[in-house]
Amino acid sequence: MLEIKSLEAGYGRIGVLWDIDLTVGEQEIVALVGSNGAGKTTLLRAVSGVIAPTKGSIVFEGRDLSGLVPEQVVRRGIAHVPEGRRLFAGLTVRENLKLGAFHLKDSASADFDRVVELFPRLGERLDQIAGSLSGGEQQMCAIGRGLMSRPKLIMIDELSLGLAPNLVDQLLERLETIRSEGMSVLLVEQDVDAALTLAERAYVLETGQIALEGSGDELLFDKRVREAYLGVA
Amino acid sequence: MEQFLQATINGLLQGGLYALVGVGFSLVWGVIHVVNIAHGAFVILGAYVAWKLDGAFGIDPLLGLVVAAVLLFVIGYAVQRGVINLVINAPIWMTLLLTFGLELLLVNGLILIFTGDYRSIATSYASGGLSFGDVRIPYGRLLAFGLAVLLTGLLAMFMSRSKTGQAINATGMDRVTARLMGINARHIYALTFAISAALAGAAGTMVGIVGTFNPVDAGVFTLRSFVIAVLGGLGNMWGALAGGIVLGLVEAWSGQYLSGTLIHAIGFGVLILVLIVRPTGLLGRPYSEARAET
Repeated sequence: MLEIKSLEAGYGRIGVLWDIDLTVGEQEIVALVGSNGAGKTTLLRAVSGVIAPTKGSIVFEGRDLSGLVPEQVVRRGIAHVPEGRRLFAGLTVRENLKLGAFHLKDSASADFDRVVELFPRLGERLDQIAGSLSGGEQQMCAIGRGLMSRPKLIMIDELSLGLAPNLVDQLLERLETIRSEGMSVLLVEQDVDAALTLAERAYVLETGQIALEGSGDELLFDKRVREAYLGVA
Repeated sequence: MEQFLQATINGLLQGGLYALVGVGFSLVWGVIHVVNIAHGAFVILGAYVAWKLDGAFGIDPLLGLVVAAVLLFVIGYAVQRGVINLVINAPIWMTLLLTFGLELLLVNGLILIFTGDYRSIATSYASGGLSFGDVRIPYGRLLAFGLAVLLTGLLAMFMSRSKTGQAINATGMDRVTARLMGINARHIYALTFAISAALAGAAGTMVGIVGTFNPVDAGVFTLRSFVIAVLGGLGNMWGALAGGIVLGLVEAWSGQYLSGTLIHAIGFGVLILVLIVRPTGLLGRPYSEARAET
């Protein structure tokens, strides 16, 4: 569904990503793990059109995404839930969710109901200012806002950032639900254990290159992964 | 006492008009973070459009107001889309310099075309008025006030209720994320600037109906817009209304009791006072909380 081939990208003259090959299949949960500064966020930004790749191709459902700006990419069916949630802090939860459906011509009320069903906590806080939510609720709102755009693929950057482990597990469970509804998920995580446990397939990104790839379980028990990211030998 | 009452009513009515002058400036500054030095020139341009339409073609100034607003909307959209968008990521000094240049261009262009003479748009209704004892309320000023409050209210509703208004708010808070939602930020910026210019054009027409104007007044209107926007809270439409009325009252009272040359000094004095006591403006939310940094 998403095919990235020999991608290179960066900021200005500074290269960040080198020769990246990555695919996400239909209804697949794929994790992208790696340490700080490895280029995970840059990769998502290249897919969603926030930055333009300098080389390589990104193909989604058989159509090339190169040259598209973010507002066009979201219309192709890719939602990008950015790192740090990036909610519109001065607006309410309801307003944030509705903005997620900005490009849809209809009222998206069914999508809205579905998001509230998926995250009942948001339903209780619809008229609250998004900036006043707890970290977990903010992440629910950010994911919900992404789902409002009716995506086929949702990319989530640092789902676990600043959240308690039990909350992370809850949210990851929701990703299973999202997948079962027909979507694909590309999950960027620093919580390597949680991400690899959930994902069917995973990629390890190191200094801008794919260092390892395999099924979630394979990587979870890979010696190098365990040493570098899980702190166990 | 009657003097005070008259000054208060004058100030209130003038303040409504000031609100319409400043609300667009506040919108553009608060939401798309452009301090538009040319805002006052847009106001004056609107006045000249309605004045010329009236003088040359006998078009009623209220119809002229609509034409001025539409024309300024188009000019505003083009200026933002074609010029200011180019420097939107540059430090704020670049946009200041750019809009300052635009102001010089417009003001001197207007002087070239219309000379620096004071003009005023004559209407049959502006001179009449209501009288309560010695206190008089001129129709023209009442009309300006009513229209200003109406347009400010409509703008406030548009911003909070409409999908486009929400998109403008979202783009102002976090442009990159707004684009991820499918919002075309370039268009939204241009649209916001266009709305601001249209309101300035409408305000300019009313300025011409209730008083006199010449091109050099542009600077004073920009300064007033600055006071109104900061006084009310940046990007807050109802705040701009409050800020306009406060400025109108302060100017009227100081004009009544103090030397006329002090008017602007007093106006800015109030601004400084508000900034000391309440840095977010009269109705402003803590601004830093409402905006994500990129």
